[in-house]
Amino acid sequence: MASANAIAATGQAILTLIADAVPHDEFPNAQFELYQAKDFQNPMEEGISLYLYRITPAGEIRNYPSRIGPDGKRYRQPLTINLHYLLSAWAREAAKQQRLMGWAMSALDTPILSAGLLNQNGPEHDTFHPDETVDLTMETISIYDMGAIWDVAKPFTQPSVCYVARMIAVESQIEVPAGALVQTRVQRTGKVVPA
Amino acid sequence: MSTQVVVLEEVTLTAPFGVRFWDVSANSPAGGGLLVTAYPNSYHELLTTATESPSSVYSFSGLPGLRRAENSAGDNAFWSVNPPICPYTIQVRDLQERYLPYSFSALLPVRGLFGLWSSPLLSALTPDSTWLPLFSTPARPIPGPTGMVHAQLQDTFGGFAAWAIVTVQAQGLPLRTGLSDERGEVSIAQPYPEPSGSGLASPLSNPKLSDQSWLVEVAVFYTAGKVDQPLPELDQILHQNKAVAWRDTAHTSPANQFTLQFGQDLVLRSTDSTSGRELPVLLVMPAGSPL
Repeated sequence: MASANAIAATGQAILTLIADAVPHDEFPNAQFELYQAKDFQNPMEEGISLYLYRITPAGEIRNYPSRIGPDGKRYRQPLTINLHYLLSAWAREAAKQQRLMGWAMSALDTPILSAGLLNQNGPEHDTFHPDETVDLTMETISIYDMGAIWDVAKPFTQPSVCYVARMIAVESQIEVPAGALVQTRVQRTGKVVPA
Repeated sequence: MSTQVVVLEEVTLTAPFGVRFWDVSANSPAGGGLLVTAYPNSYHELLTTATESPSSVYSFSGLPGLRRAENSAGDNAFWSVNPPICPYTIQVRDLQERYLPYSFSALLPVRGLFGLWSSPLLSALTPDSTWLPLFSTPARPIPGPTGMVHAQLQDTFGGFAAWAIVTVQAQGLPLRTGLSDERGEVSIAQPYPEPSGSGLASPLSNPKLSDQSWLVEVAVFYTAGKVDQPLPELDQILHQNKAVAWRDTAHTSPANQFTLQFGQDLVLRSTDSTSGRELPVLLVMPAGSPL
């Protein structure tokens, strides 16, 4: 289970994976940035943008068990979420833009992100525990929904693809006070009588 | 009309022994479903099976010779005059074969959770002394993209180095610990460290993730013949001394550093000095060996 920085770390890790895979000789000026809605009004010349357009509760598991930390203490259930991203390629020419998109999608063919990759951009390097991973899969959304997402960027609509990072468990720091372990039980049998 | 309750009988039940287990590989409480049994050292046939509580504590009732303790008040007065004196052997097995079996000795009854003896390895294995470590079997499936370190340990006398502790450490990550089984086979999940020379801040051409590799430090703790077979004693496992793993059959250099490549399992091997070929085993010289 990850700390509260997991959302930011996941987006940066996806971009890192793409940045490491794109050939620098073909795309020497390519930028790789996390985008907010306002950035679409003044987009980059060349590169890959990643826009976190939606966060949803991870519906797969709603009754996640409470966590027992390495310190042996019990903490509240984690908050499990899915992160929905819009990945867009930017370039002056359509062919170059599509080649860049191809490289990016090829890089994300590794569907599981390891903790080392997720933590590498910091500043904290323990956001995800060493054994943790994040599943990243391509997501198909309708033309209508895609249009709604691109509303923030009209008239700069670009060819894009959606990904979802699934089942990110943001751990709680709230300790659940557990009752002490019981070694002795006392059973009393009695009867009710008038006082 | 007011009423009152008159107590007719009072029965107290005290658990004379309770123990819980820590999954060393997952760094979390061990999964349930373990078969934990105990018997008095002189009467192997008087085997009693523990029951597992919702808090993952395995406790016993009906242990031979401990009836008085079980029906005691379990208060300070009782424990102060009833020190643990009954020698028992406790065996831990996992029928699902996730964890390697072992046994340990204890004097019963024990107040509170059973604690572990001091061991130089203990602090790296469990959160505190109220947990006993459980080690993964080599065949246990490990989920996720994690580096796997495998080895079959062979001691310098030609036999399998069974029940040896193997530690693996990559820079910036916690120590990982594994235990070899009776055939000397051990598998340790070693999560991949952070990629080097990579990241969004790097202005240079970045190496691909699939090209990444990391150095890992390997250590073996093995004292030949110290650990009984086929069910080893935990105390003996944890008190083995550091052995020397050799890179080749001529024993020219110790094998304490290996390279973990992303996406590939790391198999620790020694090489045959005469042919230069890799052996299927890692040669280990037991601690204290005259060789």
